Amino acid sequence: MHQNLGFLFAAFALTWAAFFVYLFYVQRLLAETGRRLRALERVSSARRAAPRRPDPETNGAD
Amino acid sequence: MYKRLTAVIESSPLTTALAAITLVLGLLLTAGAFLYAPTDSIQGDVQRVFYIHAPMAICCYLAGGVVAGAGVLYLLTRNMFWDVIARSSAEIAVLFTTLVLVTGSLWGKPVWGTWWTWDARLTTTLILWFIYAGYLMLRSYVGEPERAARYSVLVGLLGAVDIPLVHVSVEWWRTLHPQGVIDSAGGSPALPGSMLILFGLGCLTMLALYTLLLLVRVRVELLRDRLLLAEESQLSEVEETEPARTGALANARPLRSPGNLP
Repeated sequence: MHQNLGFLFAAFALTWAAFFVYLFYVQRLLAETGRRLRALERVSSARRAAPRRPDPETNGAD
Repeated sequence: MYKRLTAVIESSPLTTALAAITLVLGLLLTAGAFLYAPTDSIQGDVQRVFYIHAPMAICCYLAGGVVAGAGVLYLLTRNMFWDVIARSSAEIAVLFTTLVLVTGSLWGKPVWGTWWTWDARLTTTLILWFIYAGYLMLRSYVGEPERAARYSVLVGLLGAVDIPLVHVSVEWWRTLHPQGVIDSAGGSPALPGSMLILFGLGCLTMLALYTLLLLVRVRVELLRDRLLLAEESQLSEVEETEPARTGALANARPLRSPGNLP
C-alpha cells in the first residue's frame, strides 16, 4: 500500500530543510549586522567623548 | 507611517510569535499529510506531496505580487522602504519557486516516469525562477542603490506578467500537469473534504512561513541600510576631525542618500 514513500519523504524533508537553512542563514545575517552596527556606534560615541587632538599644521593654536 | 511600519517589522515578540505559529502549523501539516490525508487511489502515497507543493506555488504568486507591488510603490513614493520589501520578497520568491520545481520533480518521477518535461506549466514556472534569479543578479551587479531599485522594478513587473501565465497554462495549452482541483471548471472543488482541509492548512502554513521569512529578511535589510548610514556618518566625523588622514578614504564613501530611508 505504501507506494513511492521515498519520494514523499524526500519532498517533505527537502522542503523543511531548505526553509530551516534559509531561516538560519538570515538569522545569522541579522545577528552579524546588528553586532557590526553596535560596534560602530560604540566607536562613534567613544570618538565623540574623547578630547579633540591638536591639528599638527596649526600646532594646536586653533 | 514608514517609522511605524519599521517599528512593527523590527518587533522581536511579533517575530517570535509568528515563528511559534509557523512551527506548530508546519508540524500539523506534516502529521496531517502523512497520517490524516486519504491515500489517492491512482497516484498512491506520493500524491501527498500536493499538500506542500500547491501551497508553495500559491506563495510564489504572492511573493511575486509583493515584488511587483512594492516596486511600483517605490517608483511612486521614491521611498527605499518599498524597495527593501521588494528585494526581500524576490529572494523568498526564488526559494519558494525552487522548492515548487523540486517537489514537482519528486512527484513527477513516480507519476509521469520522468523528473522533467517541457510542459507549459513547468516551463512557465522555470521562466518565473529565472526572472527572480535575474532580479537578484541585477541587484548585485548595479552598485548604486537607487538605480538598482529603479531597474529591478521592471524585472519585478515582468515576473508579475508571468504569474498569470503560470496559472492559466494548464487551461491554455495541452499539458501533462493536472488541471486545477480547487477552482475546477464546474465551480465547486474537485477535492474531497479531508483533502481540502489539509490543502487549506498547507496554504495557512506557507502564508505564515512567507510572512516570517519576509519579516526577518526585511529586518536584515533595514539594519544593513542603517549600518551603511552609520559608516558614512562615521567617515564624515573622521574627515572633520582628521582631514589629512582621511583624504583618500573620502573616495570610498558608500553611495547612499540618507534622506529617503525610513
